[in-house]
Amino acid sequence: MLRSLRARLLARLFRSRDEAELDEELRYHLDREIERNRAAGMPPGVARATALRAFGRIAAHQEGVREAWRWLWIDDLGQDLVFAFRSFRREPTLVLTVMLTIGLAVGLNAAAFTLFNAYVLRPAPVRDPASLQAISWNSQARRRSRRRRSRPSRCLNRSPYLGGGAVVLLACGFGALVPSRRAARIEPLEAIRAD
Amino acid sequence: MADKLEVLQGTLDLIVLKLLQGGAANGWDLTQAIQARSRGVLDVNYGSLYPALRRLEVKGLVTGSWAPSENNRRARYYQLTTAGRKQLTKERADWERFSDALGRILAAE
Repeated sequence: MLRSLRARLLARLFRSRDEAELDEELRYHLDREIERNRAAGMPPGVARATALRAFGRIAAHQEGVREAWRWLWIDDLGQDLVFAFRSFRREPTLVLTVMLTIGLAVGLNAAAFTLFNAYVLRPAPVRDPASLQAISWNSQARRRSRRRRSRPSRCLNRSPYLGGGAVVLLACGFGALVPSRRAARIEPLEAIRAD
Repeated sequence: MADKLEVLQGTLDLIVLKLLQGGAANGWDLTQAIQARSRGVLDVNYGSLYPALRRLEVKGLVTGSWAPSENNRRARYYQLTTAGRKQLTKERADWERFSDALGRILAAE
């Protein structure tokens, strides 16, 4: 397989050299034919003419060889494909596993990138994203233990919104992870327009 | 030369592989050997011999290299590879089965 691939590549690279070799090869054959005719007692001209007649048109032979070479790789490709599909039929479990693996991997990657693209790479799909504010509030319990405040109050956390939706994404992500003791409830931060 | 038979399609590869089993040979040697061994019955068409040699070479069954011939000219000599030897064994077995089967069909009646 490797050898034939190499031969094909070489044939492509050295096409002209190859043609010259083919020419020499056929010419050698013709000369031997002439020699044989002369050895059989023919005069030189007749020997040559007879040889040429027996040999046929040189160009036609060359074309035949070239043709064989040119179409061989398509032939080989077809055979390889057929072989591949036959092998698949013989190992359906393996094929299914490979297909699932590749499919899931591609799907997961596409999904992950879609999210990443939408939240991080592209600006938030609103007018003037730089003016967005993030708002959150904490529970009363936490406020009491921390700041000893009796009055329930809302904490309005106003911070200039950093470009893009990255903060929203991160906050949402971490919000879900923060243990409930430290923060009884962190509402998913709403990205609202400051005005 | 009307009584000569053309080499059957598909058997030329087998013939070439078999003849190369005896050692490296060039195209001319091969045509002579085919005529001699078939006692003049088989006549190989040069127009199919050289394409066949190229095909075998591309498939890696034979390798060709230039070497001086007996009349001191450069000639391309072909030699069997290991894969070629294997292919010869296989094709020979296939052919024997085929000709055996064909013989039975033709002999029936």
